[in-house]
Amino acid sequence: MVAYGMLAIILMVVDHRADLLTPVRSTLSLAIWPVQMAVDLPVRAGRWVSGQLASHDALEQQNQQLYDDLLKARMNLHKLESLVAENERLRILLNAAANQPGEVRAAELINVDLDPFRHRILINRGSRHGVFPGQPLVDANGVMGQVTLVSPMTAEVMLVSDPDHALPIQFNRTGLRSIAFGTGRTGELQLPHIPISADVLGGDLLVTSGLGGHFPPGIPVAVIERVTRTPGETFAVANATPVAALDRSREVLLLWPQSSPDDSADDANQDNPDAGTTIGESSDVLQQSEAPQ
Amino acid sequence: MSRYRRGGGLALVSFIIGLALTMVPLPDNVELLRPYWLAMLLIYWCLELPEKIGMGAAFVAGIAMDLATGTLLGEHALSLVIVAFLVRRFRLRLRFFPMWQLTLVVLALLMNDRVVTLWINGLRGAEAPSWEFWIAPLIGAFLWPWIYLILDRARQRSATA
Repeated sequence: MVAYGMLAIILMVVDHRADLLTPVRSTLSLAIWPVQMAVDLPVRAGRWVSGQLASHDALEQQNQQLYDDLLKARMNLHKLESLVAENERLRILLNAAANQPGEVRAAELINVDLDPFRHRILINRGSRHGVFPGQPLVDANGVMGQVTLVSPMTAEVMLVSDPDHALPIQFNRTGLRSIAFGTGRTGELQLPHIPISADVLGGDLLVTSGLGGHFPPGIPVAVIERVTRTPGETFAVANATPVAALDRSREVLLLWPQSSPDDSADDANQDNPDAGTTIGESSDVLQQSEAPQ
Repeated sequence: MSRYRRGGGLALVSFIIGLALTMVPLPDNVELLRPYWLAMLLIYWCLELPEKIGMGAAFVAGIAMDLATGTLLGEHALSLVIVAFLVRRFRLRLRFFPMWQLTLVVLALLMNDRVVTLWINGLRGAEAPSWEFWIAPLIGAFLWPWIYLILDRARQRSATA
């Protein structure tokens, strides 16, 4: 017993303090993968069955709704593209570095529950699909988290609400930069170091600032709930609600960072043969999806 | 097939099913109430099949659970090794306990495991868990007689097959 106990304690300490066990973990996780897929299967099958049984009327209504949403999204996208072009021109005028678009690839959550004390989720893309540790994950509304552990077929993602997660953010309205920490509660992030005199209001939108190099800048993160200013303290504390549906999203997007300007296009095409989507070319994708009709 | 009849194969299958049950998604508010399936299965197999299922099996099962749930490698291994050790130590007495007394023993073991988990999580810096954390052993103890009966029935059927 003592031998096994000591071995377990040593493993825990090594795993906690160093990254030495990560390759061991990745390879051994492959043995667990069939069981994870087996648990995921019923949920997926149930969804497929309910999809098959949906009434024709309901499907038509949903189709029409999606078409309307798509139309509105495309209108906004045209506006956005002219803004991007203007931004590029201004950057050139200011001799600032140009913004290189990264690549986007869709993934899905695997319906297994991980440890309830950590805010982690499992996605069905792994090192075989080019996923790397530290990769950002977003959903349709905003930032969800970062990839922590990569196995051949799956990857574990730490959500922004995890107490160990810290995200460099920027206030969209004022440009103030700060860091948002996870609190361990799903709907809450905390910003503990806001200068007491800063212009921060409830309802302010937080976006990624791009500092630290992990997340591309400008992606929505959270909305400020309340700001607590205690007289006499140097800093105000703000609480924010993440905009991503951390506990509900099924389809998520993995982001590949912008590489250096000369080889970004080549690398993207070589490494990812089943073509991801470049953020700047979204209008092309929309046209492609319309074509089969 | 004689190995299966002696129960080793059935033990492996039961552990895999226990692992699957540990991973089945539950709504957020009841997630902490999930019973410690692998511990209960381990208690059963340590009582019934001590020559095959010992602390080595407990360690491997714990590592498998750590891999599956994304916890520190060795966290559940330690808790299952402690459970296996206690069961083996008191096995000769436990074997002849009536079902209700055995259920109380299972409750005690699961509660002890909760304390160990709380300690490990505390060392890691996690915040104190809510009250549901302490309810999970009660649910586990409640399910124990059923697990015992199901596994006994399965063993009988595989022995006479």
